[in-house]
Amino acid sequence: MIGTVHYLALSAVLFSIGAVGAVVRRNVIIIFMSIELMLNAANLAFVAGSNSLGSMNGQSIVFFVMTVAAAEAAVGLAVILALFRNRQTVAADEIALLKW
Amino acid sequence: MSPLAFYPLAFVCIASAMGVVLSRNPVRSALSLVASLFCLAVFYVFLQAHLVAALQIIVYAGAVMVLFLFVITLLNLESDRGLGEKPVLSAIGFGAGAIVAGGLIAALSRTSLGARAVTLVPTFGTTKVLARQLFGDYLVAFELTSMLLLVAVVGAVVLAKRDGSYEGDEQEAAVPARSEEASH
Amino acid sequence: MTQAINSGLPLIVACSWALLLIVVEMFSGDRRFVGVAWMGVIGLAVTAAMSVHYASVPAVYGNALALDGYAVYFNLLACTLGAAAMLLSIDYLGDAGIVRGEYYSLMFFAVIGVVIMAAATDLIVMFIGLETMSMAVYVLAGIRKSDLRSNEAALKYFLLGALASALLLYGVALLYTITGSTVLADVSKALSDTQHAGADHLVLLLATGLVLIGFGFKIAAVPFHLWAPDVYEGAPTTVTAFMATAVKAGGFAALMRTVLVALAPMRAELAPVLWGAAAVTMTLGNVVALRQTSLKRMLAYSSIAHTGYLLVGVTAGTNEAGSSVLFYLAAYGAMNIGAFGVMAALARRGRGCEKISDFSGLAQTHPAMACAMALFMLSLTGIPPLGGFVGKLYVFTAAMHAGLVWLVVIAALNSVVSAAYYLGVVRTMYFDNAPADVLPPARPYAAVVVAVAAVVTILLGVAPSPVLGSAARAFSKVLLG
Repeated sequence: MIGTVHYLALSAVLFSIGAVGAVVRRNVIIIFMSIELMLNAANLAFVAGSNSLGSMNGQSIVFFVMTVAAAEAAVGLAVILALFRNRQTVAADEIALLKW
Repeated sequence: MSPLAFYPLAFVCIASAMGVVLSRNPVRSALSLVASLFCLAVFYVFLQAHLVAALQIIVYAGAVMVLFLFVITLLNLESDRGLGEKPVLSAIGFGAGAIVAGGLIAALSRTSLGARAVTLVPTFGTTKVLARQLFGDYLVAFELTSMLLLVAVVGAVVLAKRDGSYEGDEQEAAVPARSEEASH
Repeated sequence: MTQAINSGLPLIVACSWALLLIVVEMFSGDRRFVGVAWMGVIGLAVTAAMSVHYASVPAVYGNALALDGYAVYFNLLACTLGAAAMLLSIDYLGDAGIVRGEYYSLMFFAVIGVVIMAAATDLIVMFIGLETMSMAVYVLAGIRKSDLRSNEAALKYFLLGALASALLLYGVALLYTITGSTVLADVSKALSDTQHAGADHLVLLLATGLVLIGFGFKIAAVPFHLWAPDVYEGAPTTVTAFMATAVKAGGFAALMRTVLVALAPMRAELAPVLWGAAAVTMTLGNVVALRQTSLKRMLAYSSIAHTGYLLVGVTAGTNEAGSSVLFYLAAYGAMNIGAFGVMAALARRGRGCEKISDFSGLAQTHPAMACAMALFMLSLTGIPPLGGFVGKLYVFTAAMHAGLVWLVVIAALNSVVSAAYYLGVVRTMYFDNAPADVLPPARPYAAVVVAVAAVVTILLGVAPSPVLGSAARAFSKVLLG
């Protein structure tokens, strides 16, 4: 039978994949998507936790996390757009005016 | 959820998550992320989070990822060399990631979570209960997120809007660009 | 019910005021947005006054926010620092090519974010406050859109900030799954229960670690400081002033409440981690600051070093140490606003006034500005009788009382090292010859802010008791709650 631990293990794997992607990739859009993956891993943990506790709080929290993620996407993509206007690259390595 | 459903779905979810990180092409990454988010929505259904599952598809896989794809195509991003640029760093990264994941799973499997036996009330996960909670216990947080969204909208407009109104040199550069856009 | 609404009033008014700013800015014909800036300053003053007024009854809004003494103290601090940064910006913005009236409302929202972080008694509300603040500051860092360095500062700050938020959130998710709550007091209660169970301990440690990493990014603690120098350098100077002071204060407000309330049962395990972070942060910050030629970068590393000093107080974690940290944040705010203020006052288009060598001979051309800058540098070093000295003295004494002798020794040695680069700036201003093209006269608004910051720095040094007293009162209830 599949229990809370299985879901949390899945969320741990997704979280780690996202974290690795955020660190090793150099394309800022892909880094950003990896971070979205990490947020989703946290959401899965909240939902699984809420289910195992029999309390709905975790589901409400996921609602807020989604809002935060949407807001982050709007601002983040605007930041990327503003940079791209001045410099035609989104590779984090090539953006070396300030050292990474 | 039966293991027969869980494991294949978890495999697809993890494989598409790997796709996000490994793809050279950002569009492919974005689509992998959408697939991964869909799998998560299915898990949410099995965890009695029906509204969350719906929102996951409408808001996340729908609106947010469309925004991503829009920016990727707008910027006309080509594929980069993926992980090939930094093979050593990537190997170290994936090794560290595997250790983190393994450690987390080992720690989680030792917890008291497995022994937790809760019988869910029949109304668990219904929209009515969730709404009560959002506008009750979490009213403050709810109102604050509305402000957060406003900040994000204002911020995104400030950054993304092309305003040729300042700095003479940019103004000159911006005017032909505008007329070019208009002619399309 | 009335009481609940009353305690929320300062926030409601602040949010409405920030909204109003956006609307007013739209119809403002003035390209310098002086009126908008003043409206922002008045709004912050109103918010601060209201929070003091309504705090007389310690009210709690659900489990989400508490307008206790601690929140009010940070409210006053954030509003003051925000108002100072707004006044600094008035002349700076137009000259830097930033003609966006939204600047002021974004800064207002960032202050609101800090206030929420300090008042939050639920980790999720704290997270939303943190995101509100961060979102506004990401945009502010990149608001000079035509400047590539500003773009990159925004991008770097955003990516690392979002990563930090994700780590923090995952930590909170694990804490929630184990303890069953995100309310600070409930988490604390559950932790002291499960502590005995033992089985959950490892996951709790990992969760706590993730939460600490998340906050560590925001306060720029080593090894999560890498963004700070670049972002401080690339952002407009007035935004840097805000980031170095108000944003850091917000980070510490949230960190202290989390560590000292929610994670209180785990103090024994956390103490060595905080000890190490404090020692490494101040040492690395000071050593790297020695090699800087850009004043902005130097101040960035100096702010990292100060994070280390403040972490000494957090490590001690007693009532005495907590109130000293609050006091130190005020003193640190005054001297940093002043130092960045001098840079903003003298900067002109095409002349950044960001290198230390730009200040050669400043004493001959701008005696008042040079004198103020020297004062801030001496205060940052920790020379009596200035605010920085008193702050350090109290933090280190409290740490000694908590038995952290070696950490205090390291901190004291660090202060000696830091004298080298702070006094280097003073030497450049007073003993080097002024270049042929002298710096322009200081801008009036910025000069006033610098003067006020100088007076506050001196006052906090010679008469610290009023602020220290209110810091002590502010902190006294936190540990019990």
